[in-house]
Amino acid sequence: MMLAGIGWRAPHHAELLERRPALGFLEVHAENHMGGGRRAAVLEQARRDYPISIHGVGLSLGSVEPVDGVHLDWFAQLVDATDPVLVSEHVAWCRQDGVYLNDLLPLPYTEEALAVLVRNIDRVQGRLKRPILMENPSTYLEFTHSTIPEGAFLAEMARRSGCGLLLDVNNLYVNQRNHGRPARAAMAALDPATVGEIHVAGHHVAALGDATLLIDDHGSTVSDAVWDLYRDAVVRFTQAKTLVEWDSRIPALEVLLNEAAKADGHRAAMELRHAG
Amino acid sequence: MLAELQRDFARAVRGDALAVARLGIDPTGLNAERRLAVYRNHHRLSLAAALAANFPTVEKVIGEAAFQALALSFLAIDPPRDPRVAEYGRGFPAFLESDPRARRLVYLGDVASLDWAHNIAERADDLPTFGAAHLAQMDSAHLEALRLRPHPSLTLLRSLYPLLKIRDVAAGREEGASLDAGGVDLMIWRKAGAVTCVALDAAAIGFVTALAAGRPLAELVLGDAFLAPQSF
Repeated sequence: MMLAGIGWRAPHHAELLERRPALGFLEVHAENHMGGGRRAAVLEQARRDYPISIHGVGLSLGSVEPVDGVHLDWFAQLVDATDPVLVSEHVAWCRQDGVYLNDLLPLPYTEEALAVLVRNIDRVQGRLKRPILMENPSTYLEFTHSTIPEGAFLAEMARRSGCGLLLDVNNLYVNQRNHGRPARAAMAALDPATVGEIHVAGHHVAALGDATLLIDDHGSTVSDAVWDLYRDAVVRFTQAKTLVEWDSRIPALEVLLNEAAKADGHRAAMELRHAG
Repeated sequence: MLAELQRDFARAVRGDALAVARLGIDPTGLNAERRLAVYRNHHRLSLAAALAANFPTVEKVIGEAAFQALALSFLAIDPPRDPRVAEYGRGFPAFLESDPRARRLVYLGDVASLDWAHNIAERADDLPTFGAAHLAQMDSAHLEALRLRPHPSLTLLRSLYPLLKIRDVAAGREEGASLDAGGVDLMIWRKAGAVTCVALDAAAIGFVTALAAGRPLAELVLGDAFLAPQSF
């Protein structure tokens, strides 16, 4: 049975190391663990008990500006030090003229953006000497000059670069609600062999006057609609490991473990149904 | 095309309202400005929160609302240029020294320097340190010339204000501190994995400052001021 993983977040470090609950892996946000000091020492302890997933949030692989070589060196050092089971980044950008905007900013889905991503993914995969997974983003706006549907864009990026995909089903759902793009159509466009990981997370429903926007804040339990998508995803992407994300208003570890157990339960139920 | 889009998007996120119109945002259901505002708000609030995490004592001293106002002013003139948010704020103590609102609390810049020193001590690389055992193994020629470099976790901080008392008041451990208590010289570093902060007297701070500046150890501890050990 493939168990779900959770994020490695500071409020849980001591309790996780003490209790050592059964989990598939721990996901580490790369930029929080670059360099030495106490955090590196604590991460080394975690690595003894769990497989590690390195999740980059700042390489800005959607940027026209080239990948920052120093940042990539730090990233590679962290990968070398932790020997992770998964390495991932985002279909997004966050850096402009050397300034880090600290967000996952949206790209238009165009041939030009595809070429930029493939160039930058090549650079990272060449440096790390391993394929990475690229995560589909949640977005709050669309560009009128986008020409490629999201699923086709992700599939083509994977085909051209040789990267795998990290399918965030909460992000698919957020985009479906925000832009009316059917999540299941995007999933159907992906080659099952390319999806190496699935993210599930909570979102916030923001009322903005007459309009409603779903905000991907990773600050609550997973919604029923997202679990529905997740059940379909584990049937289609049987090799993909699952991660429960929770990054804001971080709850007691018990709450997070309960979400991970729910993910395991959904996967087991779907495997049983499809085995029969 | 994408280069221009990213330049304009970054400007819009950082507050340039005119840049929004050039982005080609689909306004269906919600106008472009309100959609872009989601990113602008996240940019501002997440980086103000990152600064608050790096300067917890400053935030305790002045409160969340005042801290956020100062953090947003700082963000506008000195945005992060390092992908690690824990590195954000190197210039914040100097900013507080110069900002007219912050300067009403004369010690606030020093409080920020103390927070930053704590941050450095926690995160600096591990490098092998030099101890008495190494000293014992050195021959006299090398001992004469020995200069020590400060560990990257080390900060020496001189303040005209009673920083440790101010920190204790902010943490609720003391009722109040009088600025008449005078200044303090602090040494902050990581010792056996834990951040350590000690107040040094005038002799000690002079010694450590000279060592950190690269003066030979022998010159500082010997000179002509000490006698040879007596034989028994």
